Amino acid sequence: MSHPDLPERSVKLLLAGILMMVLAGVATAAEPPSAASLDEDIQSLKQDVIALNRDLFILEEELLYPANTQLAVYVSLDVGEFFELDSVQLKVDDKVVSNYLYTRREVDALHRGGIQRLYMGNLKAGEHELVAIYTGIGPKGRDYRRGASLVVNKALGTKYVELKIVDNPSSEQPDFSIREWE
Amino acid sequence: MGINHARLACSLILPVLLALVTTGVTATDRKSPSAAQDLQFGEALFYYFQEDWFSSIVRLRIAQAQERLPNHGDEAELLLGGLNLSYGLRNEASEIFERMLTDEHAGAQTRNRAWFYLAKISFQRGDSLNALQALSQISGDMTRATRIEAAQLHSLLLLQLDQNDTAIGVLHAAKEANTWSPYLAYNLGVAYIRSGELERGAKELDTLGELSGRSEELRLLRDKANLALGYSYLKEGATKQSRESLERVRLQGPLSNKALLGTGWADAEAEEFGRALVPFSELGQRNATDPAVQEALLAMPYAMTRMSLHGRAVAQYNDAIATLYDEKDKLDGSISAIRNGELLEILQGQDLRSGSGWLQELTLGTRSPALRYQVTLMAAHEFQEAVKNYRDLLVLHNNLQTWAANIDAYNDMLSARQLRFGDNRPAAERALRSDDHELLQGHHRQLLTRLTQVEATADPVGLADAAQAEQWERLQDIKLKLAGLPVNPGTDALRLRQARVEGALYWQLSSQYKPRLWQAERQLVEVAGLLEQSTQALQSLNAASTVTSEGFDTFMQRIDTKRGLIQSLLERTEAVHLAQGELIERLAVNELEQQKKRLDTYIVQARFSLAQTLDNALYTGKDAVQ
Repeated sequence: MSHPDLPERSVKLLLAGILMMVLAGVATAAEPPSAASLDEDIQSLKQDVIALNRDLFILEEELLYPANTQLAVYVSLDVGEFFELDSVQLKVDDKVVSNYLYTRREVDALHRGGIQRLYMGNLKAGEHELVAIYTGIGPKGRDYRRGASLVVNKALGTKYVELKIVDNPSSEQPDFSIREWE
Repeated sequence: MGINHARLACSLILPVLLALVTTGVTATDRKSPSAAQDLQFGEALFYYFQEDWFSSIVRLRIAQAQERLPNHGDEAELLLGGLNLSYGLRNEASEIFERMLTDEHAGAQTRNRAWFYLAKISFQRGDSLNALQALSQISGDMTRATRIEAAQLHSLLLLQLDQNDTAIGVLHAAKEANTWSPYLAYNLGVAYIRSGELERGAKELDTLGELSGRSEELRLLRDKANLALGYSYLKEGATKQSRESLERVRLQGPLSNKALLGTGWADAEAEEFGRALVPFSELGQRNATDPAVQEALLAMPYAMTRMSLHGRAVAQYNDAIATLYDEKDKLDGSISAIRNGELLEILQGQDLRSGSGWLQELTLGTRSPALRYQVTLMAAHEFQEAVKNYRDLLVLHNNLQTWAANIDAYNDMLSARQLRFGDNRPAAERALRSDDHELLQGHHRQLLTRLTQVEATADPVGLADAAQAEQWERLQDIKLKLAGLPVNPGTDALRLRQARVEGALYWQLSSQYKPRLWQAERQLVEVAGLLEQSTQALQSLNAASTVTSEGFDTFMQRIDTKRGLIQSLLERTEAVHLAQGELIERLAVNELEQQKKRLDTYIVQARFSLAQTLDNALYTGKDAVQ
């Protein structure tokens, strides 16, 4: 026969320990005032840095790419079942202006509806040829390299161009197009 | 002998639920906004989907400032509010949502979403009453995501306030409205159990406990449901059902230690101490930083005592005491490492580019004692938030340093540009003053009129080249002179000759008319294009000369202001960063000190139990030391 009190006591002590551990998880410990005020400081700092970034990006754009000569090129994906994007090369008037290699997270963001600004630069008024060369994995897992081109007429004012990759279900191939935005 | 598991099971459910519902809200938060109809909105989404809240907010703020969101006004504001909240800017987020609610044109969906976010902000601030009040404003048209998230938050708040029956009502209403998710089912199961309806709660949790688990999130939910159910059964003394539920928890999952502990207790409750030793022993082999493992170290000899294995129990108690002391030493080592700044050093060395997996990556390549209790520390919301803020501050610091370097480069560039502009200015001004362009345009207009006349009269002479024009003129002159001479055979022969030559020339001009007309038209189009280009160039020059000459000073001023701001923000960041580091160390040390206290309690318990086991062994006449 074992001592009748022993296990009961041990278990109660054990349970007290568990209870302590569990309660530690639920306790909504009051935040020390310094932590709360620090959080306020961080919020205010973050807001100020965001405002600064907004102003500096606008300043940078106005300084480096004035509206009269500005060209902005964006990349978007629609579906992407027949093409997995690896990289895009952009040429303006036969000169390479951007070579971009995508990470998985970036491709995923494009798949979900994000649009990437690939390039921002300056162009004189008049006609210019834009060529985009895409590499990646095409239908049936094969390496794929395709190009698309467009002649744009640059007038005064910013020119927005979108490089669009769309699935073509009838041909089971990706379609690459270049679209000018008003 | 009955073990009082009531307190244990009851207490375990709530923390599990709290952690779970928070995860659920985050998961549905990531639903995609609608497809971008403005490029700049799409650009903000590009960062949003990468969980780069900072860049996404900046891009949206730029697009708003440049008025480039004609198709996404409301949506951008809503997204901005949500982004601010995700980035820890509760005050800013709150202002945005309150502003949206004052907008008469905001639709019901937008208003409901704004109310939901306001409720969430109040919840994060620990203000349950305001959160409930905001939730009570939600009605009418809303998206499915809003409906689900509002029901989740509402039920969580009610459970926190111990209003279990009201929570059941809210969850039932959501179910009837066909707004259901596994998270809501979990909350309903827990609400039933907390209100004493184990059977109905078990039914809900059972359904979840048998989920196939398509994703890690769902598998974790399944484990949590099984764990909650297992402990609830244990509380009621239903050991068989308890074991069944707990055995469904994955053996290698994050909840496996708690499940193994519960399984052992279920067996002990059923007086199957030999069987209980299996999960307790398995736990005893695991990392002793986990409280469940520490618990098992004492549960093992307890089971042995109940099996009258006093000798083994004594040895096990001694081992447990040694392990607990060892763990205490390790805790001291960790506390000392944290106080020496090792934790902050590791946090500072982290890869700031990594996405949401940064927390897991933190331990890669380091065996520092400062990180030994990382899992325990990170389980505390306050500590996790503090570390997130610390990381955000590091990112801000890098951002400001990059701008500090760029702004100097822009300053140099602007100075060089100003110098070049000064050199080119006289020529530019001459070009702008000159009337050459107007003269050329006038000349082009004359030529165009002449060509139109030639084409209208189909006169080939009008397109004669210089030599032909001179010949034609001379022939006309001769013709005129011949007309004034008397008619006789001599003059007739001359007239005939003149007519033949004129005819030949006319024939030549006629045959060249069409190609010449086509060429002339083409040349005039080309000239028109060139004139248009020069018009644009002059307009650009004009704009540049007025904007740039004034702009240089404005730009310089803006650069100077921003440079000063960058410096002051860098100083603020460094100060806050330092304070945040101290806070993290303080929180970590406090938590580890708590762990030490718990270990002390366990050690006292173990020593006491050891003494009693020895005593008991002697009392029953057995040799405990064998």
